[in-house]
Amino acid sequence: MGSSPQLRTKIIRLVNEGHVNLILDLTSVDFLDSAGLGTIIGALRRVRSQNGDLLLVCPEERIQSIFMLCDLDKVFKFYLTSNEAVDAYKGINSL
Amino acid sequence: MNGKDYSSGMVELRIPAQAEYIQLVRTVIGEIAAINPNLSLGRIADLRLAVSEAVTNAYREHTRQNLDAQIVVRCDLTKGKIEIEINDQGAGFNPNEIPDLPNAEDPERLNHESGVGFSLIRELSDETIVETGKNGTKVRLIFNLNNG
Repeated sequence: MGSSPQLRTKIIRLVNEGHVNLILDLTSVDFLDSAGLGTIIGALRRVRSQNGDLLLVCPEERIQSIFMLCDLDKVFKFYLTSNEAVDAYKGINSL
Repeated sequence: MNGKDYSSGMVELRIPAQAEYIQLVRTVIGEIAAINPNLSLGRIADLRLAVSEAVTNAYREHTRQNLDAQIVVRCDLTKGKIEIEINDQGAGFNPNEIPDLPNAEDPERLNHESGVGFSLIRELSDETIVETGKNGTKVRLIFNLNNG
């Protein structure tokens, strides 16, 4: 539950400022619980409602497995590095 | 295996129903589990998350009902398994009545930010037993030591 409220506040601020194509880097996250998952789901809903997207940088199998346990690996797009996520946006924008 | 007997009995924590203590319980129970070399790092991480979810549920129930009572967590290092019991004094719930979430492919799924805590508990532990009565709810999480 620890840092979820701060993340939620930051996402809301970014979306309100017009940033709707976001990358959330979970590389240094060593613990993710259902409250954290809920915050990330809420973030995806917010950006999608503005025609944006949220890509996750998640090199840790352990963290990715928590998404899988909740079937959320079908909802999010995962990348190993932030560069890969940035490239994915460039690919989307060039379509 | 070094032949040492790690079935060394019970550890009990009594915490106020405050969010700050959830991380403390997670850390302490994780460290206790790590004493036993037969539990892998991955399973210790599973245990920490399952305990955290169960204690979070207890905390939320106490907060919702404005209960001052403590939450009691017991960790029993018995032969061949680790059993963690989380006791709260809330109104309880029936795990079979937790509503299903929409499928991942359904856009409606994004409208549900909560509701995965108990399914995580069930997925991560080898066995989950919920006992609910008028004096509260007891959630028992069992982790077998021969399971990775």
